[in-house]
Order: sequence, then C-alpha cells, then structure tokens
Amino acid sequence: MSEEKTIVDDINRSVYDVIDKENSATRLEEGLNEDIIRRISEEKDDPDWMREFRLNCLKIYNELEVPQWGPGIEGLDMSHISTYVRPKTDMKNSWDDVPEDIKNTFERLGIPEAERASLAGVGAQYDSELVYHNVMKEVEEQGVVYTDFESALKGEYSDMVREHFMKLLVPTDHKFNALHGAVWSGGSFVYVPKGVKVSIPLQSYFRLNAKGAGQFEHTLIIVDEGADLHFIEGCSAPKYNVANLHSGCVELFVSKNAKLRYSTIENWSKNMYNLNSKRAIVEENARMEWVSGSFGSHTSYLYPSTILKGDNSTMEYTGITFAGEGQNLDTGMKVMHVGKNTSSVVNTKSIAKSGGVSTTRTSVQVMPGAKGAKSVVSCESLMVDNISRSDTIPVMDIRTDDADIGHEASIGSIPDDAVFYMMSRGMSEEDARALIVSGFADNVSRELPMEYAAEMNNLIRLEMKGSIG
Amino acid sequence: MSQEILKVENLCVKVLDKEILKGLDLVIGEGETHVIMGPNGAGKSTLGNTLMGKSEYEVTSGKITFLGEDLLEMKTDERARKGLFMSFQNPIEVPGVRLSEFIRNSCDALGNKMSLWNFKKAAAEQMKVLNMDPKYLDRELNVGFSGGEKKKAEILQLLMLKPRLAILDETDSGLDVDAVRTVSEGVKAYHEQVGGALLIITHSTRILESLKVDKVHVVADGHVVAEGDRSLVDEINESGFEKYIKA
Amino acid sequence: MAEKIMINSLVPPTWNRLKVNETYVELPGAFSSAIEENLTEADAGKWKIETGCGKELSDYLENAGVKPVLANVRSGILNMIKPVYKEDSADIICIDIPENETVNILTDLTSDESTKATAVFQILIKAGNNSVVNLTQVIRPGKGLKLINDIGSEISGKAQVNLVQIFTDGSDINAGYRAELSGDDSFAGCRIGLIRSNGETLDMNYVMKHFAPRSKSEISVSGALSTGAKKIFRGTIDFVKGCAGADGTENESVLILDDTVINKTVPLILCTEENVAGSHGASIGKPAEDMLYYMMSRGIDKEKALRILERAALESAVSHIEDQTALEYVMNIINENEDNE
Repeated sequence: MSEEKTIVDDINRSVYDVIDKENSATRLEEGLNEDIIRRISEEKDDPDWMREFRLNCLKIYNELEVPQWGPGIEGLDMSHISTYVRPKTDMKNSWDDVPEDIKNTFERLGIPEAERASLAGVGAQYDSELVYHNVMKEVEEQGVVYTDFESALKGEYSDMVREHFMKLLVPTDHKFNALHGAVWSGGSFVYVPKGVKVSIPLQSYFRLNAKGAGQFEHTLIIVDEGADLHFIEGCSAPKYNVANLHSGCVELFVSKNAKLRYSTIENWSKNMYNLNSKRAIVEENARMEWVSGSFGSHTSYLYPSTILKGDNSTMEYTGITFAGEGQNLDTGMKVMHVGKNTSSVVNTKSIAKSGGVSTTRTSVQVMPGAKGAKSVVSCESLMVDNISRSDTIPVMDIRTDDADIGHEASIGSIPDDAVFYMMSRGMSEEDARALIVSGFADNVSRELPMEYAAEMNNLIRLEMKGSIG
Repeated sequence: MSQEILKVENLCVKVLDKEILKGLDLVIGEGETHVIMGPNGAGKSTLGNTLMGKSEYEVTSGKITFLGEDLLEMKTDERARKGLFMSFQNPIEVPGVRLSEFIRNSCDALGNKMSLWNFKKAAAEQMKVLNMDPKYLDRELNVGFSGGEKKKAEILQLLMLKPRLAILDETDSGLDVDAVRTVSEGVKAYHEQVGGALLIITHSTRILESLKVDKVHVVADGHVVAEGDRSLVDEINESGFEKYIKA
Repeated sequence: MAEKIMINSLVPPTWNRLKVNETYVELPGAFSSAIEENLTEADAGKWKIETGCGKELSDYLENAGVKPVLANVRSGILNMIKPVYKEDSADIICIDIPENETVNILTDLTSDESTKATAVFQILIKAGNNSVVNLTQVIRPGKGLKLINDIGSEISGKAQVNLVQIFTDGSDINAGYRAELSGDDSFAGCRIGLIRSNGETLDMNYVMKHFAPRSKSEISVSGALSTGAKKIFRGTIDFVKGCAGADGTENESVLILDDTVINKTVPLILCTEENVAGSHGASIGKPAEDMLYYMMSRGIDKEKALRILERAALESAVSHIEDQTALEYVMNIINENEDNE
C-alpha cells in the first residue's frame, strides 16, 4: 500500500495545475457588451447570420434573471471575465507543429498518448480555440466528419450546422445558454453518416489556461440513422485565485436506430464556475448513453438532459460527483419521455467530503401519451464526514397511466465494520476508506474506457487522502 | 513448548458497558494449534475481536503481548502487518470492491507486492486447494456470496496473506459437510505452507476432525475454565458444556 | 380582503418550470371558527410551531386574528374533533401532551354539499418525553369547501407522533405537515392513503426535521389517481447536523388509472450529518396486468377491480390506526363511500 501511495503522489494535482505563461495572440478585455460581441464575431470571421445570432443572444442574456434555485454564483462577475482568448497558434493536425509549451501541457494530461493508444480522433482546445485536431484515416474514409466548429460553420456541412445550432439548447432557456450563444468559440462538430459504426472513441479535450477567462465551446454531434459513436470529453484548468468560467453547450442528435455514448471526466480547477448545458434528442429505436464524472470546479450546474422523442428510444445515465473542500457541485440529469415504449435507467452516486456540498438534482417527466414508459432512477449518496452537505432533489412528473416508474434514493456513511475488516488485513484506515469510496464509484468507472477509469480512481484516491481528521 | 508468540494475561473486556471477558489467560507458541471452545455467549468471539482491535471492545485491564510487543498499543492494521489474521464469522459485504483488488491491496500492505500477473497466478493456485473458481476474484467483495463462499474467501485470504497467527472465528458454523472439509483442507494447507499458529474459535468440533490440535481451552463466563489436550474435545462432544456453566 | 399567499414551499427549490417549488392559495380576509365547543385560548407566544404549509400561512392567520385554542384531550378515550363548516373559517388547535401520556385523537373534516367556503384547519402538537400521540385524520371536504389542513409537531425524547391521514374524494385540498424531531430517540410516523378523481387537486408538503440523535421518521403514501386528478407530494427528510444515528424513510406507491392525471412526486433527502440512514422509494404506474387478470379470472370486472385497488391503497394507511374505535370509524366512512358509488 505504501507503494500505491507513491503512485498517488506521482499523479497529484500538479498535472492539472501547471500554469503555462499566458502568451496569447488575442485577449479581449474583460466584460460583456455589444462591442465585445462584434469583435469576437470579427475575430472568428462569422457568417452574417451568426453575428446577428450572437447579438440577439446578448439581448436575451441581458433580459434573463440569474437562476435562483441553485448554488450561489455571486463570486462570478462577468465584468471580470475575458470571453475570448485566442492562443498564439492556429489549429494543427500534427502534435509536432503545436507550440512546445502547449504541447507539453497536453502531453502531461496524456492526450497524445491516449490518441495513439485508443482513440479514433482528437480535438484539443486551448482557451478559446482549437490548437490540434486530427482524425484517423480509416474513420475519415468511413465518411465520419469530425472538425473544429469554425470550419464546420463555413465548410461543406454549413447548412447542417445552421439547421441544428442551438435548436436543442435554445438561448431563451436560461441566462447561460444566452451567454453561450453570444460568446461561444471553439468546440467540435461531428457527423456520423447512416449505418457507420465508429468502433473506437473520438475525444475532445478542453483546457482553459488563461486567468480570469471564460471558455464557451460548442459541441454538436449528429449520429445519422443506424450509426454508432462513442464520444469522450475531458476538461481541466490550472487553479487561480480569481473566478474562471466555463459555459459550454453540447447538442446531440441521435437518429433512428442510432446509438451515442457521451462520456465526460470533468476536472476543472477549484476556482471554476462550470455552468454547462448538455441535451440529447433521441429518435425511434435509438439509444443515448451518458457517463459523467464530476470532480472539479468551484461551483457546477450540470444536468445532461435527454428527450426520448421516438418510440422505443432508450437512455442510460451513469454519473458520479465528488465534492470536496470549497466545492458546491449541483449535478444530475433530466429526462423527458415523449414517444411510446421509451425507457430510462439512471444511476447517480455522490460523495461529499471536507465541507463540500453535493446536490443531486433529477427530473423525470412522462408526457401524456408516452404509453409504456419505463424509468428506473437510483441515487446514492455517501457522507464522508459531518462537515459536508449532501442533498438529493428528485422530481417525478408522471402524466400517463401506462408507465412503470421506480425511484430509489439513499444516503449513508462509510460503514465502520467495512473499515475494520480492511484494517484487519493490514490496510491503513485512510487506504481502507479510499478503497471503499472507489468501490462506491465502481459502477461508473466500469463504464469508462480503461485509462479514464484509472484516472478517475486516481482522482478519488487523491481526494480521499488526508480525509481522516 | 515452542517459542511463545501470543500471551494474553488477565484480560478483561467490556462491550457496550457489559463485562464479557473477566480475566482470561492464554499462551500460544509458534506454529501451534489451539482451540477455544465454549457455550454461546461465553466470550469466544469477543476474544477474537479484541485481539484484532475492534473499537467497541474496550479492554479494561490485562495485557496482550504478540511477538514480544504490546498488541493493545497497535491499531488494527498494524496488528495485521505484524502477522495477525482473523477469519471473520460474518465477513462484511463491500459493494464495488473486487475480491482480487481487496486481497492485492492487503498483500501490498503486508509488504508482499506482486505484479497483477503473479498475483493472479498465486491466487489461482490457492483457489485450487479451496475448490474455488478463479472467476470469484472478479466478484465484488462478499457481495451475494453464500455462507460457504464467504468462508472460502476468508481462507483464501489466509493462504495469500500468510500470517504468523490466524484466528478462525466460527469458521465452520453454518457450513455443510463438504464445505467444512474444503475449509479444513485450506487450513491444513496454511499450516503446511506457512507453519503459522492457529487459534480456532468454535462451538462445534467438525472442523477439528482432520487437524492436529495442541491444546484446547474451554471458555465459560469470560474466562478459561478448563484446559487440556485433544481428548477434551471428545469429552465435550460427548457430554457438552453443562458442567462448565455455573448454575 | 382576499389575499394570495404562498404555501407548501420546497426548501431548497428546484427548476421553476416543473412548477413544484411552491403553491399559491387565495384566502379570505376574515375567518370564523368551525369548532362548536368552547375552548380555552392558548398562549400564542408558546405555540409558535412551524407547520408544513409554512410561516406565511401562520403569519396570515395571526394577522387575521385567529387565536390558537387548547384542545381538551385525555388519555384512555378517543378524542374526537369535528369542525362544522358553514362559512370561511380557520382554527388553530393546540395539543399539549405531558410526559408519559398516550392520547388518541380523531379529526373528521367534512362539509355539506351546500357549503361554499375556504377553511384552514391547523393542529399544533407538543409531545412530551415518552408520550404517544396517535392522530388520525379523515379528510373529505364537500365539493364547495376549499380546505387547507396543516400540522406542526414538536416531538421530545422517546416520544412518538403517529399520524394517519385518509384523503377520500371531495374537493381541492392543500395539506402540510412538519415534524420537529427534537428529542433523542423520538419518532414521527406518517401514513397517508389518498384517492383523487374528477379533476380534484391535492397539494402536499411534508417535512421531517431530524435534530436529535437516533430520531426516526417514516412516511408512506399510497394512493390512486384518475379522471383529471392532480396530486403533488413533496416529502423532505432533513438530517440536521447533530442527529447522529437518525433514520428516515419515505415510500410512495401511486396507481395511475388513466391518461388524464398529473402525478408529481418530489422526495428530498437533505443531509449535513455523517452517521445517518435515509432512503426513499417510489413506484408509480398502472396496476400490474397479472393482478387485474387474476381478479378478472375470478369474475370481477375491470371497473370493480380498480375500485378494489383504490380501496387497498387507503387500507394500507388505515392499517396503521392504533385505536380500535378510530379504526372502525374510518372503515365505516370508506365502506359508505363505496356503497354510494
């Protein structure tokens, strides 16, 4: 076990916390106004419709109220956030061409290595723009489109992009969708043609290096009929003593008979406000799978939502949230059953420790006419000490007779007996507790590709270190 | 007598303010097999849990020396690392933690670090002795295990961790004849491979049939009321504990 | 002057668009009392007990001049409280149970079809150490009566408050209950049986506040909804720091008998203490096909089978009534309703 600890020490936070010297090509001044929006639009050479869209979103942003039901975001002052930071390089498709310091950052995070080992394509965003993008030849030859969002907006698929952009996550939904619509930059566009099954995952990695900045990437994935894709999203940032903001949008269109799995390991630094929106619409016979691990950020609002529109559509959500010192993580999911014979299976785990606040917020809606809907939700929470807080806030809104809805929630602590059992085999109390917590998270790590599962377990061990008073 | 490894002197233990052990003495030598017998509620399991250092068991007086050191000064994990082991009567279920992960972490803690490959090989070898399918290594720790499977998993840990002294707390209770035989095989294998000492806590005698026993201690009402060699087991088999229980 | 006030607020709130965060009710400016017996006024300062409907309602009643009164309850008998509703009325009944006493109370809230009014019925309970309060409520207002049934309790060491509520068909109802488990090993039980149909609404807010070590709460809701009924059940188990060893469970099982109902369930578990056990389980949906099939194979038609299941939903709450007289009283009402159908 002592060996194990050294390993844990080796992967300590410093991997994520290295701050590259800020050396950006463009950094817009802090704040949010029409002039700034126009300059972002200019920087990005937007088509006219997009510029107008941005300006309209700014109006909506100014009209909408800050949400009152979640964690406080008083610490976030938009007048101190720079919404656009262009790195000093344009996008490359070979790591060798990426500037040394930026490349080193992604090397430390293991991205090029993972690409070689187990990914079909990678996009790497640094602050507001992608610095690297590459797709495996075989995958490209299957007709799979995986590009940065800016290229997609102008290229062959521009009509498709325009047709779908912010149609699922409409700017009027809430203030931060509107903000995103106004200042978005970067992100990826993926199109998987009919019947194409991508056997290994694509990954986008988002790194926010600039202090006091925001990252607003947009991810749009369209999986056409009968196609199959696994998309992985990773994110991190070094820690600063001022607020940073992440407000990305992810829109997922899963066509008839298609399948999409979307996995996220979120490890933002603990000064980050992570106000993220993700939504999927699932057509007939199609399947959406979410795997979500939330470890980082100061404050999170994150509830991937799914509309089961088509008959026989299904979704599965597996998520874990680990709230440590100084963190207020409000996470969960929403699902709306619309089609007939739809089903949702939800498993969430949450851990609160060292004064952290974890809230699991869920909503299951079954619309009239959604005959044969099935939903099983299970929320488990673990309290590691008595200075933390763990809340479970589920809502079920059922409007059909032909539904089968099950819900279970529980809260508990680490059982003393289990700790004693492990200690009787020689493990220290700290290691025993860490192992039990890893076990608690096991059903989530099992859903992740091996390297990511290992990263998640390391993050848990790291968080559990020194958890004994 | 061989070299002494465990010495319990005048041990008094309270659980939830109730005095359970009232001055118990016990000495075990290197490689010896001792049996603790006694009626229900005599304090047999209290002795095991006190030796292992469970927090609810409050030692009010007395002394325990293990390998020359004061055991009561050590936390549970230190005791294990010193070479003490207990097979639990009701091993707890820990969801999400695999049996292999658990044993490997324990081996690491005890200073026997193995590669995954070597670990799996070693475990498979020992599982053969116990007639266990190696697939059990991938199962969640004790979750959904039958009584017999749990006990086998405990003995597997005994064989993998190779302690100097193993306490078997009612390891034979609730098992059918075949399972008792398999468990005895495992215990014998431990004795042969490691040469460690055994403290077998039991209220039946089935597990003892195929084992060499050095000494039998009868515990009633919190202390040792009779001691002897193997013949004491046969005597109790015949006439029970009545004569040791105070009216 | 009638006024709109907020009741049954969810703390903490959730997404506004789900419309579960609070409810607004319109209340008249003046109330009479519906209790015919002359009861002694209680010391209002001593009876500031928070209720499930919330502070805004209590403040409103106070401002409208509604005075709390002390109920005459005794152990050894079934204490019956039956208000008579003719006009807008509000009553605050204080139930003070000394140490080691056991009392059984039954309230029957009903009205004639001719009564068109709004009524607030509030019960405040102080359960002394080791006391037992068995409170059974039949809540069946007539068509013209808008009823708010609101309870608050303070439960001392080893005391028990066992609440059984039976909501049968009638008009729209708002209901609240808040139990403050302030004594070590205190217990709050809450068994609810409900039937709603014909567009009736039932809006509920039940909060179990665990302050004390080893305090225990159990909420169970069983019910059946049909023909445009709207039900919202908010149930909160709140483990406050210091309540080590506390245990709270919540269970809901609701049958939805057709496609016109709205059933909302909001079961919160809040926790700032490490060593607690909290759980919630819900099962919502149509009756199991094989159960209907089984009944129909015995010659029972589907309509009748559904009535049997509705009745079963009520009876699972009724089975928790301790007092024999109260039990018979409630069963009579259930049987009467069935005969009328």
